[in-house]
Amino acid sequence: MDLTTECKRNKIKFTAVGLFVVSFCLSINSWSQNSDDVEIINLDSIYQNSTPKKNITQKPAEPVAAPSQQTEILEEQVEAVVTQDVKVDELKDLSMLSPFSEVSIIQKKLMPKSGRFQAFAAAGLTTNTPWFLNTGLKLNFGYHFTENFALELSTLFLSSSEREVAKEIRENNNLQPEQFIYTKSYIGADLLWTPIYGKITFLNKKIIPYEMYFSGGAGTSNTNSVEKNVPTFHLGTGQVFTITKSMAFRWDYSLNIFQATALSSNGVIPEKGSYNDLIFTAGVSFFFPEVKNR
Amino acid sequence: MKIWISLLLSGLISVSVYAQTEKEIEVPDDELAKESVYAVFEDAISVKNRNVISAKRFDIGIFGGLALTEPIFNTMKFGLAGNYHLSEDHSVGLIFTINNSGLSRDAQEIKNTFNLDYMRAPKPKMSIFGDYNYKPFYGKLSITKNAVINTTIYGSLGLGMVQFDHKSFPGISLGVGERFYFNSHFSIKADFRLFMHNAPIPFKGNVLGPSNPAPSYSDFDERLTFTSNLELGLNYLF
Repeated sequence: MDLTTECKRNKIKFTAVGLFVVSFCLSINSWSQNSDDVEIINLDSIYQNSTPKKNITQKPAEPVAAPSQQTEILEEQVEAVVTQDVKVDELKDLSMLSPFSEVSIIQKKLMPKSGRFQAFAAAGLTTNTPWFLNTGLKLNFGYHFTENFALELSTLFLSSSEREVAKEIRENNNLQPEQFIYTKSYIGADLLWTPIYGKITFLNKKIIPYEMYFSGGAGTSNTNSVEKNVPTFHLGTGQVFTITKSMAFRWDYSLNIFQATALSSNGVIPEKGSYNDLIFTAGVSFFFPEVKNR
Repeated sequence: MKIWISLLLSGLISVSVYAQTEKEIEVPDDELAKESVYAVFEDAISVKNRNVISAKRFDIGIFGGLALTEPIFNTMKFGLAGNYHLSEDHSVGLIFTINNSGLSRDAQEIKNTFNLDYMRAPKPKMSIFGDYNYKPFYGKLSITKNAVINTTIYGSLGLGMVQFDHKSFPGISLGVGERFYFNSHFSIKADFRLFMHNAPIPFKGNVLGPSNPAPSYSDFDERLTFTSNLELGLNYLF
């Protein structure tokens, strides 16, 4: 065997050994990937077969208010969770950690109001008139300067029908129920303050953003009194449940306070007195102009 | 010869390994996602963490109320209420109410002006109602971004008895209410309830004047009466 042939043989040997080493490494690599998959599957089975251990102490959340720099950003509700230190030495110890359910929730307001108009149409009734059933329509139109403050023009038109007790007092006691004052209509202006904003869930499935407002203002009530039109102070509260960016369900409960003189009954002229109406209305609010997604 | 066999084997192993690990899957362009969407879950859970857990707990409370459409008798009421929350969505309870004595403002004016005394008619004294609440709404509210309170809105259905001076009448109540929790124990609540029950008609002729002989309570006719009530209360959950 000459030297050239020996060299060729050695070259082929080294090439073969090199190729074998390369293929072995690739095989090892492939095996290692497969073993990782098996380990992941095993890890999954840990979670599936055993519920996370309750070695966390969860205090009732103490919500933290959101930063108030941007009115567009709504509230921040941080659920404070205190966990004990969990020592994770092995992969299976991950199952002892708390699930990622206790996280901060920061969301934007679905229906921003700043710089928008609101038109509110509702049906309602006076809830504190025992002698008459006063039902009617409420139409409001307002402008929101900010998310919290708005000015609103408020109108109310009521129809009146006698309740059973009014007929009974007329027929049995010879008294005129008209001596009891009721309101036919109201027009006024209010300042709306909306300090409360929140989200409410329906059956834990659907989230409805809503807000609660308070209103105060003044106007004129048209009544069945001697004076007919009387100056009226108005206080109110209500809630607005967002349906879309431009539409919401709203209810309102208003207190109208005024002074008036009742009509004379059986020749007796009553004195001027203070009266109040508690008026409940519910309807739909429309907000415009449109807003873009933000 | 052995070298060639080992070469062949190693080559085959390499090819098989690459064939396993480097499969290319071709997907048509029109089947590729072109926009991102939020995941939609079949069984969505809106509230992971209720700050106020009411299930399997009791609450007791006091309240005051107004019988808004009571024409003759004092409209003020006071009462005690207790509830057991079967779950976060359902609760049952008991409401005990005492009516304030006296006349309403309108009836007092009639008495002063026309000398008709409706105190001669049988008056409502108290009532006791079993109360079922369905609480589908739970929410968290931010007050001027400085504090967060929790709220529930519920519907109520009650069955019970209303006691007058001379007899008791069965009644039904329907209503809606809202609770505002200031912490995990204390809450204020507002209820609007419509009560329906038989009641004596106080407008009996020729018996209310001072010169008329005092009538017997049983002389007054009865009819179905509707009264709307507004109540405000303070409750403690334990």
